[in-house]
Amino acid sequence: MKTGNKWRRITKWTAFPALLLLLVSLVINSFVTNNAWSPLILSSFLNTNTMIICICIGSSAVIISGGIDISLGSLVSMCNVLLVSLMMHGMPGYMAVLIMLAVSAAAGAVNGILIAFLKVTPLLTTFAMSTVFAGVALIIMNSPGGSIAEELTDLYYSTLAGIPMTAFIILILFAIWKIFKNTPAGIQLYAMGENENKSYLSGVNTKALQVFVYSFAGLCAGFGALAVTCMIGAGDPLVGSTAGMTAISAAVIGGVSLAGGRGDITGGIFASLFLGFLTNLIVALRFDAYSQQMLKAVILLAGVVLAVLVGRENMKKKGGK
Amino acid sequence: MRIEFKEISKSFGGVHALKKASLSVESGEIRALLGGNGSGKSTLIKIASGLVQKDSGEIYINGEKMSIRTPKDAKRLKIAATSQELSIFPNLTISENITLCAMPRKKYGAADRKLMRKKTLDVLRKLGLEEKIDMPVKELPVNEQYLIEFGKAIYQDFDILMVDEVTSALYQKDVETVKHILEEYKKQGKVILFVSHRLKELYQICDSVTIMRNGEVIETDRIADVDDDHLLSVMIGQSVQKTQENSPHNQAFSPDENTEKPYFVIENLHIGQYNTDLSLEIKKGEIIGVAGLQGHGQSELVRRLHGMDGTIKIKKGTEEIIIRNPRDAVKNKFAFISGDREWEGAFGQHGLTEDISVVKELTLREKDTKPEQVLEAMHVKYARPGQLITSLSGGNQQKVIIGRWTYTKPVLLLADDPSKGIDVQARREMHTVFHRLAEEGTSMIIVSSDDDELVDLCSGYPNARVIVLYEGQISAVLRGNEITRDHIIEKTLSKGSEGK
Repeated sequence: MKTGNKWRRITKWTAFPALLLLLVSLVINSFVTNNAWSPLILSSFLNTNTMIICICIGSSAVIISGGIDISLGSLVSMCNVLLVSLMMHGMPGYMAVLIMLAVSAAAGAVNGILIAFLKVTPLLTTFAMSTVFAGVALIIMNSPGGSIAEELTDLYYSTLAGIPMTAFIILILFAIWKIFKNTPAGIQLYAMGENENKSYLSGVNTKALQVFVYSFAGLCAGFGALAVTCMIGAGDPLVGSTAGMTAISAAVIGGVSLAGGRGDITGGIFASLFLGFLTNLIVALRFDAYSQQMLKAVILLAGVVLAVLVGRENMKKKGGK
Repeated sequence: MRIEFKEISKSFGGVHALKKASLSVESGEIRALLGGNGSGKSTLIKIASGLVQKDSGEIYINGEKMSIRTPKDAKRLKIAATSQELSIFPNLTISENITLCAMPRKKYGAADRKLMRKKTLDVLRKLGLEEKIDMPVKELPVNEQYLIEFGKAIYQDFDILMVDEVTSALYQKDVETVKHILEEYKKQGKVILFVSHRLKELYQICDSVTIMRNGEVIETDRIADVDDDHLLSVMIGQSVQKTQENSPHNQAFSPDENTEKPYFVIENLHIGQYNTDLSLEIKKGEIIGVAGLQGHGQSELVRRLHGMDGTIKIKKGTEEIIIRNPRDAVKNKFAFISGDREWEGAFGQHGLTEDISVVKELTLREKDTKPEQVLEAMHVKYARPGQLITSLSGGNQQKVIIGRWTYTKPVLLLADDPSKGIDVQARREMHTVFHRLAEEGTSMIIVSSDDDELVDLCSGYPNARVIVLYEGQISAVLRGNEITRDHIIEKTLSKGSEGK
């Protein structure tokens, strides 16, 4: 009886479909990849996907609040070239990282201010801002290049107590979100995602929450940029360009409702990893480059449709409108 | 404690919602605010709770002039209000909903769930709902959701409480609960302003009544000094004609006398919620009122008939028709009027004429439309035919929606609590429209949570009956003189032995 209840609670968990997909892809992957479970391969896998996971955390938070942010991919690009060029100008690594993170959060705050105070729709605001970020990235660095201090790369690939450093980047964002989610403001964020007008009428400070959540998403992109910069060790003004939409897809597969107010970031993390394994798999199966893109897209579509269907089914069972 | 409104004016796009309305309420009394749709009472409350800005005039609290610009200002001045539209969030728990605006925190900033639960329990206990604390909000029946809405207001630390229409979806026992709570606050010296369209409740709950009409305050009386006729005539501005007593048809009506064949035959309509089957026959021009406690299958009945819940087959005259979705239903000249204007009625971003002609033009593809005539015929209070429907008061919105459907000359009119939140006068007008349609041959199934409404609609009309649903089955059928409020209440409370 008790285990039955527990099981039902797990299957009703919004992140459950994503978890299931992740487990299935893990199993399949272990058949096609040699040494799939070796710590080295696993941690390098995590390194590759940290950027998407970071943006996905930001995207999920924004979607839960009832908005959307499609500028995070370009913001990653901008922060990546910013970080590299700061270090190329001889700035110490930690300083450059701090400045880059501050810029990322500020860029997100600009999104939030435009949306909250000028009442521009989130889709248009973040679309326009994404063009701005992409443009600034190209101004800072018009082609891939540059390099970063080796210490930073080494630090990124090192482990602490057996846990890869990258995991800590994700953990920091995860912790910020979890702490916030349990404050009154966090609960009000979910209310705002359900219905912005009603929450305003209930006395919720919707403007402040919007500015906060877009800034948090910007910060997530900053952490994503940190990860990708350490991984490739150089600047690339187009490094994040497609990542924003992939992260939104991952958020949806992870059980976040595009209508807002429902879901959590955990599912998006599972879903990002799932999409990562998928890429591995397609590469391992030696499809040519063009088919790879197509195949990935089809599976992504299937994942999103599945997640939406499962979500709708759960809502029905709960007797919602 | 005393709140005073002085010459408050407000207009929305050319329509004067308030014209120099002045009003003062002191602690120690429960003041009713009464008025027709668009009389300005909701606007007055919205101004006091910071949701709407006044154009001119002043608000004094204890003689001191106050400025209320946002909901936060109102909160600071300890003004709490329940809104006519539910502000419940289905994705949050009951306790999160009730404490949303003033959540207790732990030392380091996290929400204090333990204290939230305790405080919520305190509120729920007053409402008689403490065993529901762990239920998801959206699984609560609508009347309890409205109690939660009320709970959200009384959870706050307030001096002035304004209750706007919260009782329109409540049952008698819930109204008693609300009454006891309000009386308790009265004793504590809080100022209470109470809006309801149900006159009976005003007599029960309030000590005095202020009547508004067309944005003006007309008069204030002690409740003991007034009766229905007086209140209505002041509300309307003319003496009321009594429709019911004058009706020539007010007599017992036996089914055997009417040998006309049923026009619609509904057989074994499945009610999923209770896993039961309903069968029903309706004659041309017959009105069937549907009574029952909230959530006993009434809504599901009319919704299924309108094709919202999968394919159904019913007999219409000699043919069998299949309804797969609302589109089929509308093509077969069914009409569906919902009391939930926000979600199921008004196209909020569209103008009045568009809101009227939407079904006729877009689904039935008829083009000879004269929507302005419908606006006039329905006595809608409006400034321009192109103005947004959401700029009208709730009752006027509903008139537009009823106009939309009657305009299509339906053969079967389905309604789910069509008079929710609209005033007595508009309700009477709506009943007149329904009666006229029935005389022209439209069959109707009207669900209502207000038993008085079913009495008004069905008891004086020759070709009408009231069916009572209990757990998805018809537990009683009332006709003619049997249709009284007491009878309906009695039958809704228990499973009757009578068949159909």
